[in-house]
This record gives sequence, structure tokens and C-alpha cells, in this order.
Amino acid sequence: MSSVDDTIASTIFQLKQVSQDTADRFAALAVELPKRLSTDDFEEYAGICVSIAESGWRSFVPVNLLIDIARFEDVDLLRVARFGNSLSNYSFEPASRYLETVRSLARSGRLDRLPAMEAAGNRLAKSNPGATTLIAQFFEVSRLILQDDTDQGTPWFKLVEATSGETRADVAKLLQLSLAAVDSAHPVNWPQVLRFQQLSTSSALTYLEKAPVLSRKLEPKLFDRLEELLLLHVSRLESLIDIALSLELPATELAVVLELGDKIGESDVLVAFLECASELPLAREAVLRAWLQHGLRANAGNARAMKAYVQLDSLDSVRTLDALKGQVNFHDHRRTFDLLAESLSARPIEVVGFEDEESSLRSLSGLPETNGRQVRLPASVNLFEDRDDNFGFYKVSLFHQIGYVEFGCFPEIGGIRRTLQEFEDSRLAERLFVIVEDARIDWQLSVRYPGLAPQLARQKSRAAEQRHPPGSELAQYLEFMVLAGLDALPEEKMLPAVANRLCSLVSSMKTPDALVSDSLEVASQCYELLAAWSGEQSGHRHYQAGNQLAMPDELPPPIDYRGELDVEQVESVLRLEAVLEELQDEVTDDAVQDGPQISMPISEQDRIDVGELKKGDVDAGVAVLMSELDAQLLDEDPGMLEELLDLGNKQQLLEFLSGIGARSRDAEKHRYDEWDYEIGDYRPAWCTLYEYADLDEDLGYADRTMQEHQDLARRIRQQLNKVKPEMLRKVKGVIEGEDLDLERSIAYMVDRKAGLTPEERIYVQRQRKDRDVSTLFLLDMSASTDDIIHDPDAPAIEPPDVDDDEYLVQYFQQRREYEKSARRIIDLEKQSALLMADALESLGDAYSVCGFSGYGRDQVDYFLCKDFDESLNARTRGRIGGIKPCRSTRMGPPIRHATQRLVETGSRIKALIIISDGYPQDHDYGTDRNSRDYGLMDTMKALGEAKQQGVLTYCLTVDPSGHDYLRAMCPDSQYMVIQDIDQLPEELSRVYRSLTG
Amino acid sequence: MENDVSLEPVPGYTLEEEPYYLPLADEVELFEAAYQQRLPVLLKGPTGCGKTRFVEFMAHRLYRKNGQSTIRQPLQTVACHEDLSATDLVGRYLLKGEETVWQDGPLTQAVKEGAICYLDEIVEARKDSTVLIHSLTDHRRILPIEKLGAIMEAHPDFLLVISYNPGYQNVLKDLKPSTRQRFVAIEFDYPHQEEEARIIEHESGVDSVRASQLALLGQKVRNLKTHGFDEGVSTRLLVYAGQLMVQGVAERRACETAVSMAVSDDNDVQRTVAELADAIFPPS
Repeated sequence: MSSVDDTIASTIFQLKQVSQDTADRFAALAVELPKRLSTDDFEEYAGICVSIAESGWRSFVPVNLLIDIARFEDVDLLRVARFGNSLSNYSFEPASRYLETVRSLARSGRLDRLPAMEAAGNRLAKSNPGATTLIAQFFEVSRLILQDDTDQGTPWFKLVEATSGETRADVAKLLQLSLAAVDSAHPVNWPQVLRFQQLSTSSALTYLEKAPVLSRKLEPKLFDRLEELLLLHVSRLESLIDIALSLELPATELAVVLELGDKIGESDVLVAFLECASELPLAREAVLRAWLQHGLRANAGNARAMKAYVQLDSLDSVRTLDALKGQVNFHDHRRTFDLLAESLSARPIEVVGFEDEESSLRSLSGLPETNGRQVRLPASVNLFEDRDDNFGFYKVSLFHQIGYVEFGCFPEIGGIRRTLQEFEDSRLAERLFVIVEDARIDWQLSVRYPGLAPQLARQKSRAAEQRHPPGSELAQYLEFMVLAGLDALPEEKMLPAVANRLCSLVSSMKTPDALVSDSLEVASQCYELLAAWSGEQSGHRHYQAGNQLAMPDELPPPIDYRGELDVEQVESVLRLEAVLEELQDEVTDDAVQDGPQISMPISEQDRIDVGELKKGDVDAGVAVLMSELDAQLLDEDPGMLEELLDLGNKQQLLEFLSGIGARSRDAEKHRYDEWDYEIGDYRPAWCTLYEYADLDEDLGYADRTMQEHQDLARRIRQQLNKVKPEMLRKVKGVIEGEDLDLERSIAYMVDRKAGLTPEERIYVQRQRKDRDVSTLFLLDMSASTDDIIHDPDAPAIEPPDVDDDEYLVQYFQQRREYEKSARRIIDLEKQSALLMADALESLGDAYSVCGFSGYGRDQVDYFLCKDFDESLNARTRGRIGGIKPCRSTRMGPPIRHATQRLVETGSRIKALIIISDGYPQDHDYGTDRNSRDYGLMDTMKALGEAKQQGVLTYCLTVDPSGHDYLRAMCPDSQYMVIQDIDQLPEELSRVYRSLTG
Repeated sequence: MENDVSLEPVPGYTLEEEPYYLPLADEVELFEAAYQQRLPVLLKGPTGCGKTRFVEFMAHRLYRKNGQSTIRQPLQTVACHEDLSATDLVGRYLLKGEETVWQDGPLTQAVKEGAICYLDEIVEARKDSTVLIHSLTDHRRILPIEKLGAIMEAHPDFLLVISYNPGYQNVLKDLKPSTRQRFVAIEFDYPHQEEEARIIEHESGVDSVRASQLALLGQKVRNLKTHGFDEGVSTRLLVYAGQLMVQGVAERRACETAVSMAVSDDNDVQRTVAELADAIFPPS
């Protein structure tokens, strides 16, 4: 027996110990194999088989595989066996998986991949000793990856090799993700993953995890582009991919985003850019490119500023973009629109813009509308590339809205509404009327305003282009009417007969002398036509008006520059206005007749509080009121109206009605920019300030203050009386003065020559005659003003030494008493304001007292206690008395608001006196809550803006550490830290004198 | 005293030709009636609405139309300003070499010759000059000349007409009741659109379409009275705009020059007026 036979016999014997099946397989192999291998090699192979078989549980599996593999002649059997043996040291699994893979490669004839796999496996095993599952998994995945008929195995092995040094979790994740990737339908670009891995393993893993989803979402070209971008910003890879996944943009726009993104170097900035990309006008690539370039240039080296720029959170950014894309903002032209409205309509019509937050950079924020007293226009328009066209949109909209007044619709609105209500389906009748009337107004406009006509035609054709045919037949007829009104009808022969007749009716309004009554007539004819058509439709020969005619569910959408006219709303508003005017006249007349005792004018603040009507919107309130008036006063109880119309009640009614009109003024909303020193620019419309005029009143407080401080009040009055008028006026013809009046001097000389007695008043003098001063006192109402001002002379309340309950109770009682009676900073502010107000009343200067507080940038509260044109009466004093400590101290917005108020007064001297108790702070005043710099810088900027607008500012603080920050905020001469808090009233009057004297 | 330095009347002031005036109501008849009774007349109305033109028209009608009078200068117009003193109206001594000579003022001339004396924007003048006219406007019809120590009786044909613009003069410059209640008042306002169009067409020579467009502009701008400018655009300015158009200036530019810039210094108001003009006149 040869040694080979011995080996076979002993091997079979040994294998039998493990598995009979394995032994049989080996026996079968042994017939053939020794012929291919040298004796030594065969013996080694057999030894390895035995070694593997004895390695442990289920070790027959790898042996079976190894026996299987031996059938393939081109396998380097010994090398494989050796490698398998080394793996079997861990457990049967890695070896089995390895051998399975080898078998699979042998079958498909791609054994050349083997060395790479082995190298990676080796490296993995070395770096992660004992990680049997991991290694097994590696071979498993290798097999699957190599199964695909591509040569991507190589990069994957390199990837594993490179990752093997990382944590076991990373490797496990890589394998897991690889497995999932192999399973998925989309092939993975392994070289690309490797590129990410070379930058960071985690980015490769993220990429591997998310790329399949991304590649499903994006077109291949865009995906490739995004990959390139991602490779540049691996540190924010996950965020970038997530944002890219969430972007719902058409491919062309996404391409623009990616191209622009390419130019951004900072990853954080890129993330911010992508986050906000959908808000940008992506259809205008050139504009955006210029916008971005400007930003990159202006904010080079300041990533925070650039971030704010791409997020459109910097003023520079918003302005640049607006300018580039020709956007026209309502805000910039508000006064022009107001004036235009007034000049066109010959009545004060307020023009307002839709709220800022509704504005969008991509579309209109709202359709124009009017209620007869007010016209509302979109906050911005950027429908056209060209600025002039965008402005033209505003102009055409405004002319159209005012056209309702100018061309006689609103003056007749009462009759129109009544007529429309007579129709069976009054809503349809109204719709028809509005369609006809809108068309008429546009035609009238183009006749009366030939200069507007081209722009109007442009808007019309744009509006016509955007219309889509509606579903129902009736709606289609209405749509035809709309198109006829836009001069955009399809050819006549294409139209159904009814539509033809409707359109020719609409077109009949195209004469210069068409009146609103004609519109009503045409609308009524259209209604009849439609009713007849509807009757025919349902098979009735004789229709009964309106019987079958029902409003279609889907109405033609409004035309953007015309908006939608609500006849009912306009009618109520105008009727209320008429009632108000009439009452006003009657009250005034009666008052004049009845003598002075009732001729006291009803001032704004004496109006009755219409408590329950304060909620809800104005228009709804008006409508309710009108129906109430109708129903209750006129129909049910006619006597009541007469009763109400007695003088006293008439006044009440007027107050009541005016109160409703005034309601919207309760909390005026204003938006202000805020300076961010870190980005070196304003954050546009960053803060929302609410101006409240209905503060809780505490008249008792005001009265007590005046009583307790009579002495101080007198002193302040005396001091203020020393204030001199500051306006110089040239007075001619005085006996002495700085200059000679030439004309008078000549007359003097001539008279002397003629032997007459000359007039001696020949001098000119400059005299101080007038004062033109407005001052605004701005009081800090932050929570910290609730602090007690400790009186150093008062006996200290010490806790008792003895541990006796009775004493303790006494101590706490004393303490509570003290706290109740102690003066607080806010008291001092209020008292100072009251005393100043009292003194200023006698001086006659205009002044206003306001308080501010708030929480966060969206809620800056500004309380108007006394306006410039209000007198110091019970209401205003009560409001000053009612000031209470509230929340934070965000100083920028109130200063900006106060400045604006002062500028509006138009006074020659405008002074803003701020009384606070500490540095500006708020919870989102800057990114770092602990840093005071943001707030200080913003406040400083706000003070600077005030100065630029001719407002003198002065900061008074009762904070002993005030020097530290006030010195930074304003020049020495413009602030004061009050050491002894009781001096505040007197210091205030001194400051007032120095500012305005 | 011999008056040897009197000025030659300017041909325009001799009113040989009838000035154009389009009566808007019964003002012509009223004025004639007042003149027959020699009642002083107060013309109230905004700037540039045609007060001066009306007085010229009436002066021609009363003195020249049928050759009623041979007076050299039937109308003496004085534009009053804040330094206009009694001396300026009555007359003064002038230096001539080493001598002084007396020079009649326009009021004295009119009183002497029996002309109409028209004091435009009377409230602008100094108080002493307003008081001066008191004795001329009641039954006395005399003019005291203080410097000469003389009293002059008015010529039977003499009539005093003053104008006054209640719109923009401030309270301080309001006409005192003692002055105001010596006159019968005729109120003027800007003409209606159609009439104004006719006036513009006639005065500027512009075609009727553009004349009515200008009148429309005028009407719209006047709705803005409360904003920044004291009065609406005057008919006179609209005529100027028409004249510029006749000279070939583009419509919008003519309105900008003659209307927008002229009515106000407020940028927004100017802009609004320009927008209105842009809307009314088709692009050239």
C-alpha cells in the first residue's frame, strides 16, 4: 500500500468520526485527485481536510465544500485549503463562507478575483481577531458581489480593506449596507463609495446607506452632479443628502441649485443654501448666479454672514435679489399708491399690503381686493423679469380697484346688491355681474387712461394665457365670459351658440359710455340666457327663472390683477361709513345748537369700549353690526332707533360705531430689521413689534403720585419753565437790532431829505419765538424693573436669631409688608414720567409716553400710554399708572419704532429719552444667550439710525453697572447712570432741558 | 406836486384787446352789477384759477368794449407781498439829484384816474396797507396821503378789487373781518373738466384730445389737496403744459416739467403726479 492509500484510508477514517457523508465524499474524490496532485500536495490537502473537520461544530460543512472545490481543476487547491484552514480556527462559518465563494468563483470561471478577496479577508481577520461572524459575513457578501457579472468586486475589496482598521461596528455596518445594496435593484457605484471612504469612513457609510434612495429620486445626470458636490462637503454629507431628498423641485430647477451650490465653499453655507433653495426664484438662473456671486464677494471670510445671506436673512441679500429680479415691493411704493388712490377716487382710500409673512419670492402673496374703504395689494410682485412690468402690475391692479369707485360701481353698490338679491340664485347673478363689471372697468380704464392701456393689455393677455378650461359646462360659459372681458376669445365659430351670445353681451360693454347700470342689465340678460339654456338642458320647454340653474361648484378662478369683488362686503362697509358720517353730522349739529355743555368733542380715548366686538375681523364685525342695526333697530322696534337717535344716545351710537372702526388699531403690527454684528448686515423684517394702545389703566396710581410728590412736581415745572423757545424768527421794523433793513433805511433817508419826520423802526432783529419740539419717553418694562429699590435709611428687617416659630411668622409678615410698600424701579419710571408729563403740559411741548417689553423677536410689545396729539387726561394718566413689569428688554425694535413715530411728527427738535434698568437682553437676542454683544450692537445701531434721522437720543439707566455698556453704546453726553435713584425725576427734567432747550 | 416821472403804461395793460375768459357761472353779471354801484369786490379762489384774467376781462368789458373810456390804463394790478407797505401803494418821495420828487403809487394813480385797482393776494401785504384801503371802500371813497398831508377823493369810475385765497394762507394771515366786510365776494374755483379743457385748448393751442387729457390730469391731481401741496394744480400750469406740447415737447415730459415738478417738492407727490400723467398720456 502506497503512502497515498494510507493517507486516503486514514483520512476517511478520521472524517468518518465527524460525518459519514463527508467521508464518502472524500472517498469519491480520492479516486481522482491523487492523479492531479503530487503525493506531498495530496497529503497536505487531506491533512487540511482532517484539520478542518476536527475544528469544531458543523465543521463537516467546510470540509464538504473543500472536497467540492477539488473537482475544479483550475483552482489552486492547496492555497485555498490553507486559507480555509486558517479561517476554520475561528469557527466553521468563516471557512464555509469563504469556500462557498471560492466554489462559486470556480464555477463561473472567475478565480482571478480570489487573491483580492483573500487579501481583504486577511486584513479584516487581522484587524478584527475573533470576529467570526464579521469575517463570515464578508465572504458571504463577497460572493454576492462577485456574482454580478461586473468587475466591481475589486473596489469593494479595497473598500473593506480600507475600512477594516475602523471600529468593528463600522465594518459590520459596511457589510450590512453592502448586503442591502447587493440586494437592491440599483447597482452601487463602488469606486464612488471608495472615494468617499478615502475622505471619511462615516461619509462612505452614509453615502452607501442613502445613495440608493437618492439615485431613485434623481435623474442620473443630476445624481452624478450631486455626488461631486457631496464629495466636496463630506463633513455635512448626511444633512446634504437629507435636504436633497426632501427637495421637491423639477429637474431643471434642481440643476440650477446644484450648479449654484458648486460655487459655495463652506459646507455649512451649502447646507443653508439647499435648505432655502425652494424659496428662491429658481426659474431665473442668471439672477441667482449674480445674487450668489455678490454674496460670496461681499461676505468672503465670514461664513456666518454668508449663511444668513443664502438664507435670505440679511438685508443685503434680500435687496440684491429684489433688485436683480426686478421685484417691486409694496412697502417701497406705499405712499405713491396711497396718493394715487386718493387722486383717482377723490376720497381717502387706504392702500395696504398683504402681510410680509404671506409674501413669497416665487408667486403673488395675495390677490388685490377692496372693501370700499381700503385697497389691499400683494406685498411684492415679481411676475415679470422687468421691474417696470412688475410695477405695472401694481398700477393696473390699483387703477382697477379704484375703478370701482371712479366708474360708478361703488356709489351704486346698495342698489346693485338689492337688484342682485332679487335673482333666484343671487350668487350666480353676483358672479355674472362681477365678470361683466370687471370687464367694463378695464375697458373704461383703457379709454380714459390711454397711457395705461398698453400695460393693461399686457396684464390681460398674461392673465388670459394662464387660464384653464373648467370642468362643468356652466363654468365653461362663465369662463368664456371672463375671456371675452380679457379680449382673449377664441374664434367665434369655435364657440357654442349660448357662449357666443354671452360673449357678445359682455363685449357690448366695450363702449366708452357704458355705465354700471348697463353692467347690471347685461348681467341680468346673461342670467336669463343661462337659465333658458339650463331649462333646455333638463328638457323643459318653458323654463322658470332659476329653477334649474344652479351655481357651478367650480367657478372660474379670479384674475390676479383684478382680484375678487365681494359685493356684499363692500356694501356693508360703505353703508356703515354712511351711517357714521350721518351720525357725526347730526351729533355735531345738535351739539352746536344745544350750546357749550355738550359741545365737548368726543376724543378717541373717551370712546366706549366695545368689549365683545374686539375679537374677530373688522369686516365680519361690521357685517354683524349692520345686520343688528337693520334687524333690531329698524324692523323690530322702530321706536328704539328714535330713542337711540336722541342726542345722548346718538353720541353713544357714534362712539360705538367708531369704536368698531378703531378696533383694528388695538394692536398695530410693525416689522423691523435687526442688526446682526456677526454678519455685518441687517436681518430684514426680523422683529415683529405690536403696538398696543389699550393698556390697563390705574388712575389711582397717577393721582397718588401727584399728591405725594407735589413738591417735586413744582420744582420740575419751575425748571422746565426756564426752557427758552428755540426757533429764531426775523423780526423787521424794530427800534434796535442786529441789522439794518435796507428798504426802511432808504425810506428814512428820503424822508429826511424831504423834510419829513422819518420812521425810526429800521432795524431787523432775530428773536426766539417758537418751540417746535416733540419728545418721546420710552420706558423699560422688563421683568427686572420689578426689583425693589432699597432705602438705605430704612431699618433693616433681619431674620430673628432665635429659632422660634412666632418670631419667624412675624419676620415674614414684616418682610411682606415691606415688599408691598417698597418702591420698585418701575414705580420710579412711572412717577418720573407722570411728573414730566405734568410739567410738559404747562410748557406746551408735544410729547409721548411709551413702554416696551416682549419675549423673542416675534413678540416685541410696545405700549402707547400717551400719544403726541393726545392730551394728558384721565385715560392717558391712567395708562401711565397702569404700566407693569413684563418680560425681556429687546431694545432695538422699540427704539426704531419710537424713532419712526418721532420722525412722523415733523418737529424740528425730536428727542427720544430711554429709561431702562439694565443692558438689552432677550432670549433670542443673538445666538449666544450669554453674550451681550448682539443686543448692545443692535441697540447701538438703532440709536445711530435715530441720530441719522435727526432724533436726539438720551439713555438714562438706574443700573449701577450701566457705565460699562452705555459707554460702548452712546457718546458720554448722551447717557447718564443715575446713582441715587430718587434723583430720576429731577435728572429727567434736566436732560429734557439740555436736549430741547 | 408835479408828477414828472410817471411810467409809460405797458401795451398789455392798456387792454386794447379783449382777454380770453370763459365765464363759468354768473360772475360777469355779478361783477357788472357791483361796478354799477361801485361796490368793492373780493375775488376768492385758489391760485391760477383765472381771477386775474377775470379782472382783466372785466376791465376791458367795462372800459374798452364800446369805447366807454379813454383812460390810459384801466386796470392797475398790484401783486401783494409781505413787505408791501402803504408807501408802495400810495406813493413815495424819490431822490432826484439833490432834490426829492413825489411818485404816485398804483393805488393813487387808479384813484386819480378812475381805473380799477386790483390788489392780488391782499392778505400777503403788511397790515398798514390793508387798513389804508378802508376809507376807499366805504361811502367816503377817499384816500389819505399821509406823506403829502393830503386827502384825495376817488374818481367816480374808480373801483377796488382784491383777491384772497382762503386755501393756503395760515390763520395769522387771515383777512380781518373789518376789511373783509367791506367787499362783495365772488367765489371762484377751478373750472369743470370740460370747461377747463376748452380753456386749455384756447390758451395753449393744443388739440382738443390732449386738452381734455390735461384737464383730466388737473382734476385728478386736485384730489390730492391734503398732501404736501397747498392747492391743486392750477389751470395756468395745465396751460403751460399744453404750450410745451405745442412746442413739440413729449406729453409726459411736458407734464413732468409743468405739473409734477411745479406742484410739490414732495418726491412721492411728484412721483404720483408723474404716474398719473403716464397713465393718461399714451407713450410717445
